[in-house]
Formats: sequence, structure tokens, C-alpha cells
Amino acid sequence: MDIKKDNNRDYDDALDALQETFNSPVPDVLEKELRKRLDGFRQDLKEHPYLSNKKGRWCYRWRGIFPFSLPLVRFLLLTGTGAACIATVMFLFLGNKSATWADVEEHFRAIPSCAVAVYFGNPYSNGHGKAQYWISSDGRARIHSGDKIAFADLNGGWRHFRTFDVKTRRETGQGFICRNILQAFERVNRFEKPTLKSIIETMTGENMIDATSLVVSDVEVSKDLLVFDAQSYDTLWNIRVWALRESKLPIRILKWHRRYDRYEEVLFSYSKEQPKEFFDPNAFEERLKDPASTEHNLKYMFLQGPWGQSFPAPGS
Amino acid sequence: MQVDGLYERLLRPIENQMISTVARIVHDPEDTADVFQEVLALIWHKLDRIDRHPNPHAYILRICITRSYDAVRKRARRRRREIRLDSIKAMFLPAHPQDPLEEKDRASAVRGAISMLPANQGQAVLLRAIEDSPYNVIANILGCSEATARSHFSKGKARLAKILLELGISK
Repeated sequence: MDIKKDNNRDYDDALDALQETFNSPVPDVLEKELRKRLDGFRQDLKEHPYLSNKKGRWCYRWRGIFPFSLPLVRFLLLTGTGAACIATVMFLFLGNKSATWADVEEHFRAIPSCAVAVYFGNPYSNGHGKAQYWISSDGRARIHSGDKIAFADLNGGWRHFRTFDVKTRRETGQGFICRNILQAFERVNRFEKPTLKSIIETMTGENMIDATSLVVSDVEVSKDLLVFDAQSYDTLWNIRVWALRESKLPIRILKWHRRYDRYEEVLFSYSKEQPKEFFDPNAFEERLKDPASTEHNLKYMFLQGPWGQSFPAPGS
Repeated sequence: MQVDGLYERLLRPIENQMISTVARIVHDPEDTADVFQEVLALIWHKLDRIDRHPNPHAYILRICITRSYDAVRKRARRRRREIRLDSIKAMFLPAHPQDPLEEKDRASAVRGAISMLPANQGQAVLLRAIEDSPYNVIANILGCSEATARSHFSKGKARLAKILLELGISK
């Protein structure tokens, strides 16, 4: 009870202090000044659109009639309109950029040349390895696999080829990898330059793409990338293809076996087309005889970099 | 729509209340003039809304009290920043506890204490204690129910008493 009384007394004291502080009379000078401002406000009211301008007044009346004046309605309308605009823009600019597998195939076919690096792992037979090949616009190919360099004219069929060994500096028989690559090209497309399908089938030695169609797995990986997935029922390979959304060109293919520890990874480089002598086995053979050409120089003989320099650079 | 009619209807009946509310709460003449100008600018800006409001006078007084209270709090914050003391107590208390506070310091301390209350409580206390406004008017001005207005006042009063006690202003 005493505490309550004390509290009440404290409250009363606080209110007294408050009233003492705030109940001071308004100084005359200040009051005059404030009244002057009120008069000014009253004069200025004539200019207010709510009163003076007929158009403005109608605008205010319309605001009263329609619910657009309510903040929530206005907010919902604005956000709804904004969302619709964003959706439209996304549909117009992004929606039509999705590409099909056929688009990627088509664009890859149209590209005059490219370089392909294949990395593979097969612990049961070959172990891990790498192969490289270049394809020209006129259907010729140069394949690097270990010390062997193979030249093929795909327009004339895969049998027109020559293989050289840069270590022994002699013409030699085709290796296992070179043969597999050429067989895949020949099998899929006998009379034209390699297609994307033939590149995917390279190394496996089996016709796997026909087993199932490729499907778009959407763009969750990146907005700039297209990703395609495929499976083959008969050979138990999974395939994933990454392609650029703008140019619709493939940049990476990954194949992995569903049962065994095997994989193949294919990386694409697009640059200007290599000179004719790069694909010419006779020109290469001439250089092979030159003892001044080192093994490394021979391997990349006539190769032109993206800026026009010859490989291997520098020092060669 | 006539200018005079609108002014007479909306502002004339509460002219005195507007002036006294702003001047008493803000206190400093220069700040009072500025705050009053801000109030008028807001009324100008919201004129159509005020005119359509079911209780336009309460709306205008709410603008007055909110702006004034904001000014008091802003000034207290500025002073705290300038003096770099943690609490208002250090700002307003005399050097020795036995020294009586001067009237001016006491008023400053009370204003500082009011500025430490939450906005709704501070405004309820000012309306009730200074303007002697009934709860239904306070509720109208604050835009809440009468029960909430009572609660704001009651809590604000208790908190203010505690602060003033700490400052040594309550007897």
C-alpha cells in the first residue's frame, strides 16, 4: 500500500514538474510571429491546387471516388504493374533465348572449325589419358594422341589418313585412340565434317545418342549457360552438355558411366581456322625430316594461336 | 470551394491550440517558428486528406504534436552528441547533488526526460498534462483507441516519474 502511495506521489510530482515546465505562457513576440505565418498560409491557400485549380480539384475528387487513393490499393496496383512489367521484359529478352539441342547442333555445324580436347579415364583398360584434335572447314582433321599425330581427310572417308610418331620420326600405324575417333566420325557422318553427335560418340565406339533424346535440364546452373542431359539405356552412359546461351555453341561435354569408374570430358575451343598446312600430312612429313625441329615443335607444327602467333611460342 | 470557408472550418477553431501546443513543447522561439512552418507545410501537403478526414482538427493537432515532439527529441539527441555524455542525467544534474537546480536547468531536464519516452507515450503525456485533453481526443489525435490512449498516458507517466526521480527533480 505504501509503495502504491509512493508511486502515486511520484507520478503527481512528475506531472507537476511537467506542467510547470510546459505551461509557460507563449511570449507575445512568438505568438505574433506564428499568427503572421498562419495569415501567410491562409493567403497562400488560394494557390493550392485543391482549391484554386479546377483540374486539380477534379483530380482530388476522382481520388476520393476511386479507391486508388487508398495507400494499400495504390501499393498493390503499383507492385502488380511492376511485376507484370518485369515478367514481360524477362519473357521478351530472356524467354526467347532458350535453345533446343537442335539449335546447338545447328550452330556447331555452322562453325567452320574448332579444337577439341578429350580427357578420359578408364582404370580397367587405358587408364587416364588425353587426346586432342582439330577440325577444318573442309572436313580435314588432325588428331594428337600421345606421341602419335594422325591426319585424316574426312570428306574422303576415314581410310584416307596418315599417322606419324614424333618420337621415332616415322610414319606409323594408327593408334587405338586415333582409330576410335576416326571410326566415330565415319560411322555417324560418313561424308561430311564431324558433328556434335559424332564428337559425343567418339571414344565410346557405340551408337549411344540414338538411344534417347537430349533434354534441356533448364538454367539453374547459370543464366549464361544451357545445359542438356542425356542417358543411354544400352551403354549405361550419362551425358551432360554445356552450351553458351548466346552463341548456342557447346563448350563442354561430360560423359560418365553409370556402373563403372569411367568418364570422358570434352572441351571445345573456338578460334580462327588453322592454316592448310596444319592439316597437311605431306608438309608435316617434310618438317619431320628436319633434325632442327624438336619433338615439341613438331607436335604443334603450323598451329596458329588466336592472335596469329605460331605455337609453340616463345623460343621455337 | 472557398478559401476562407476551408480555413475557417479547418484551422480557425484550433489556431490558438496549434500555437500553444507547438510553442510550449518546443519552447525555443527559433525552433518553434521552424516547427510551426513545418506543420503548415505538412498541412498544405495533406490538405485534401485533412479535409476528407472524419476529425480534421484532431488530424491537424496530431501533426502539431508529432512535429513538436520530434523537434524536442532531435534537440536532446543533438545535445547528447555534442556533450558526449551517456545519459541525460549527466547533462542536467548540478555538479554537487546538494546544489539546487536552477529553474532553467530544471525545465531543460524535464524536456530532456520527455524526449526519452517512446513517441506515443510522450505525446499522450503532453496532450493530457499540458493541453488537458480528454482521452477520446488524445485517441483521435494519436489515431488509436481510447483504451490504448489511456495505456500510453499511464505508461508514459510512470516512466517519466522514474526518470525525473533519477534526475532528482521529483520531490
